[in-house]
Amino acid sequence: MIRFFFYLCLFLLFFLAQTSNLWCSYLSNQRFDLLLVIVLSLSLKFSHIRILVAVFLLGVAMDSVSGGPFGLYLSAYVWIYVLIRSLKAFVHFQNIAFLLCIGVIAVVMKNLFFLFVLIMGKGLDAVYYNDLTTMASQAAWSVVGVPLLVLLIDRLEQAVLVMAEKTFQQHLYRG
Amino acid sequence: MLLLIVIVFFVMVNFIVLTVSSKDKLPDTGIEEVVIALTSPFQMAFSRTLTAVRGVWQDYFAIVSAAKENPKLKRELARAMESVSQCKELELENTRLRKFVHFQDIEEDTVVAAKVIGRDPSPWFRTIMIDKGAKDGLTRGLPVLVSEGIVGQIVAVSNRYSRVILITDRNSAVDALVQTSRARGIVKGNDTELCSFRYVLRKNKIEPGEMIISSGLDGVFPKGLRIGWVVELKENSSQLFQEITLKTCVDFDRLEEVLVSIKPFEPDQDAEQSSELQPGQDPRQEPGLANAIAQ
Repeated sequence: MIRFFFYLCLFLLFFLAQTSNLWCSYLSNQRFDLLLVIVLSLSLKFSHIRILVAVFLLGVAMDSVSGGPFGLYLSAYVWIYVLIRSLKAFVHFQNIAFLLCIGVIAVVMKNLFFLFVLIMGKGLDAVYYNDLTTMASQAAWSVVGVPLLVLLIDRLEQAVLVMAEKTFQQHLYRG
Repeated sequence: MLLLIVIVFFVMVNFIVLTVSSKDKLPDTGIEEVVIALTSPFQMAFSRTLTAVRGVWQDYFAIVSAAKENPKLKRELARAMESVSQCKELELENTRLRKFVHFQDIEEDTVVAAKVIGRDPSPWFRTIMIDKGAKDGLTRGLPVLVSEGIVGQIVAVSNRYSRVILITDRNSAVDALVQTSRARGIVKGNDTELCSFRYVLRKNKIEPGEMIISSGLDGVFPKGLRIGWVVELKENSSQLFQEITLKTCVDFDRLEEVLVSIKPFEPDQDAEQSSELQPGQDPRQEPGLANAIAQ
């Protein structure tokens, strides 16, 4: 339950940060999708079927507020989840090299979905040079950003769980 | 083997659905509306908090600089008082002239003011969310404006919120004119702060800095609204059209409030004729919504 609220708060935080006026257009182009970090964290740490549902809901939420065609975020997130789930059987999730790779793979994969939708919807003419630079800069930022954020979320989650445990025990003791 | 077949099947289905969805042929499911209704209050609260914090920060600096500017401004005020009386005269003259050219002023109930509460999470699409929806009389396709010029068009409406596609989005197109030469073309977004002004014949001589305005022929935006000014042009002798880049009048990074024109707009019957006005004719004589908003 605590984990659920932790990830819900995290989703709201990233969602609001991503859709608010905090970023100017230039920075907005450079940064990768922050929700990807949640998808990666969930996929790396849990294997339960409920996680697939959560990833599905994240996709639906993002598709609903995005101007892109419906199903774009949903597909990207679900396939990233499937990929990570199959890969994590071979490597420990806190392996930095693994985190670096999956960060880049996830960002590139998501951008490829966007590219696919653009080409199918508008043809090749709709793809501009700056789309490729956007994709490249997002991938570059993800090399540093994704592992850092995944590890940070992990530590934060542990801290929240420990804190919740202590509070619960204190209440139990007083009771 | 079976697993591989299942995966390939799902991949195929997924890509087919995405292809159909990218052509806007999927029916609206109502899920979007539910999600927007759930997330928009948070977006609105966050946006307001952010604006308030920015306001406090800016106010602090404003007070410091105001103290320095105060003596200078007092002197300027005295001079301004003189020009106020002149302006009064001009205002009266303006009213008389407006009546003379049958200028229809914007009635207050033809525009709805809305606050921007969110942006598109993806850099691949340029849309914003506003805090007015069907409840306030908004419908899909209505033009969204600010005093500086055109912002975009409403593409999705829920009960209390709407999504606006900006003119900088690659799916956006506005029928436009060069204000001075009246050369016609289409302003297309390209997902940056700059837009392309396409399909302008090479025979039309255009200079950097010239203003591009809406032509009123697309049936969405009223005629005469400012879109942007020319920043770069390339003439390729092997091509029929010029390649023109323009900078939008609206600074989309600082957009906080917008106006939605809810007045049913009929494409201007005279626009086609006036789009062929000769160079040199004074475009300022034409009444337009942009001018009215700017005033």
